[in-house]
Amino acid sequence: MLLGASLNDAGWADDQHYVNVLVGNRAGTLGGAYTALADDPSGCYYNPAGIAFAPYRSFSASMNVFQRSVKTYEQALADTGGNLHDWQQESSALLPNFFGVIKNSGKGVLGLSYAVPDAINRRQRQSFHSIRSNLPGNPVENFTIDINDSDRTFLFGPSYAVRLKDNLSLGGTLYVYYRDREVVRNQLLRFEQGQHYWINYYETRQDWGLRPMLGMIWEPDEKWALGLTATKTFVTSGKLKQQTTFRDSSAAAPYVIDGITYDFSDTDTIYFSSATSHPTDDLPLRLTLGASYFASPRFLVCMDLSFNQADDGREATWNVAAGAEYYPADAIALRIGLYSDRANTPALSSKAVNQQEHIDIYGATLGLAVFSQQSSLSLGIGYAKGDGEAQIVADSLTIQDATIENLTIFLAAGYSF
Amino acid sequence: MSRAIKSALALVAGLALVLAPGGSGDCGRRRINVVKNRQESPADWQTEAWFGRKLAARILGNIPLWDRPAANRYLNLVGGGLALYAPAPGAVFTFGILDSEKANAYATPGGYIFVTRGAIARMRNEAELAAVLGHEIAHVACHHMAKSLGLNRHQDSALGGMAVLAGGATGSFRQAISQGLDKGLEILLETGYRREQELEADRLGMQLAVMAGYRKDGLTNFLKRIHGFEPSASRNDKSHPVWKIRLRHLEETMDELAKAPEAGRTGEDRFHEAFASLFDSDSVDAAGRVPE
Repeated sequence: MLLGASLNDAGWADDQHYVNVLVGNRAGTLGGAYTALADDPSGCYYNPAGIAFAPYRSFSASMNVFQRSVKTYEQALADTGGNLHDWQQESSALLPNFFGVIKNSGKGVLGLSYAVPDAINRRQRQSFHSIRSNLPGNPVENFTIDINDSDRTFLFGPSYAVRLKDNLSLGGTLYVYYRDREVVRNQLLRFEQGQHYWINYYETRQDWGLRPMLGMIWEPDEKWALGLTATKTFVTSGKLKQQTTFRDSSAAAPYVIDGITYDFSDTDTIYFSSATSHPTDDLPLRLTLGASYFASPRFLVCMDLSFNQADDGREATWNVAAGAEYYPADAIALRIGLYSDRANTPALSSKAVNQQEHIDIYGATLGLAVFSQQSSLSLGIGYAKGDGEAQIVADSLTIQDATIENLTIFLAAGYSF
Repeated sequence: MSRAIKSALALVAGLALVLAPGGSGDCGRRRINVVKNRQESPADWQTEAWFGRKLAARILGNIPLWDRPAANRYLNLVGGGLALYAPAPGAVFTFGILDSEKANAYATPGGYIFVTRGAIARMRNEAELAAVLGHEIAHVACHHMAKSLGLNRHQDSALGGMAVLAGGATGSFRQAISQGLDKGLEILLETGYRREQELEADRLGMQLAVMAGYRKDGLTNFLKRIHGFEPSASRNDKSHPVWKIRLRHLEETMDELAKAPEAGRTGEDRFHEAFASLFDSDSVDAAGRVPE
């Protein structure tokens, strides 16, 4: 195989983090530290027990998010002059991120919500020239890479919460889980001596499942609230379709990959493969503990600590989030949040190949909300940055430094009645 | 989910349920925009006043007003002075003496406050009367009845947002109102408010009395006397929490108030002048009861 001619698939999926998009108006601008608050429709997502503490008998909220992300693999390719070139992928998405409504019903509170906790629209269109290859005296004259990936997770379903005591509530949410992924990757390498290497990969994947969440909130006194949730996603049906179209005229002799012999001695040969499978990979259990301190009717601070269990291919992962809210005027709230989004992959080893990338991300959010008697309008901004390592070239021991930068803009509205 | 995790969750939930004291409610959680929104909602006050008038009529159907115009004027003078300090901008307070020898006081939503002549007969001065009226004003200001019955527009019950619905009264609506009034009367005369609501009313009532210039120990003295007169009352009278708990909270509240115990007026002379007929030795028996 040629150096730089094949991407490490493990490095391209985006399941390494659990906080890809912050959900909810108030929650999002508090860094997602909402497990002990959760007293508006976004509580359906963070802690259904919280909706039992909502101050209004009915409440609806919607939120739109624009998110732009840039991931850079530093010094990924070397040209014949010894210069090193970065790989850079960009993702931008404008999406309705949350809608929820809650309403008193019987002795409890009923909720219905829709959330998009993960949305990626990744693009990479780059060309490199005079790249070194492992063919002696035959560098890559032109290397073009074109990537179009989209990957979105949708959650929608009901919630219900009851207050067992004035200061204690229990709640549950049963989300239907739907993930829709489409991957298009196209690489073309043209060598100085006329050979070329071309691979086109196309993948679609749809997963359906259920994501139940149980939560409770306890207020030991007027100043404090504690929240606890447990949630797990069960994928009940999955459909994965993969198609690969491949030609390599640089190969001097036939070679074998995954048991298949590739022989390009005939210049017209193109290999095409197609496969369909039905993976059902559950997501790990997540436990979150949250605390809020209501210093006054104008000021509060909140914190969440979440734990994601280890499972096949993922390590146990801890994350923390903290937020503060202050009302400089009766109808204006300022919010700030900090959060971590640590990778669930192990640190890279210098002795292994095809390893998943490991990038720990840390972010901050800032928000402003303006209230009228029955409605609210919120604007927020978030920035997150991560540093880590990746191994983007297949079957190579080379490890690249990798960085991620995310910019998020939130726009949300709420209405109580 | 593993059995261990399920067990841990069940244990946490069970412990919280058992250990959680009856509590703080969600007062601390409420943000200033919600608090202001509620305080300044004319619709809620109108709803409460509408319901409170009907509930007051039912009370008067059970216990008539004491026919002493001068005494009732005096009561309104004292109560009106306290109401000036109440955080209840939408309430219009009206005070009346009920012709009953039992010692009690009642408040209905919107600002209708009643105190029995039996309670007045057990008081020693105006500071004690002010403390009792302050307690009842606090029930109104804190919307305790409205919260218990789900009267206001933020609560989803058959009675929620009555002001909006009253225009198109249907049969089911009238039934809901009737049931609400029955429940309200039951709270006032039998079951009582929740303990934390009584304690909240004690605290705010004392603050109102102090702001109006009275001694801060009025309610404490009155409760102690009531307990002395009727040792069994604290056990049988479900409308108030165990008197020792109330006294302890009242003493804590007094400690928080910088005012010295002896500071403030008692208004003893004016009180006895207004209720002379109650304190005529010929008309009060050994237990302080006034004959019918």
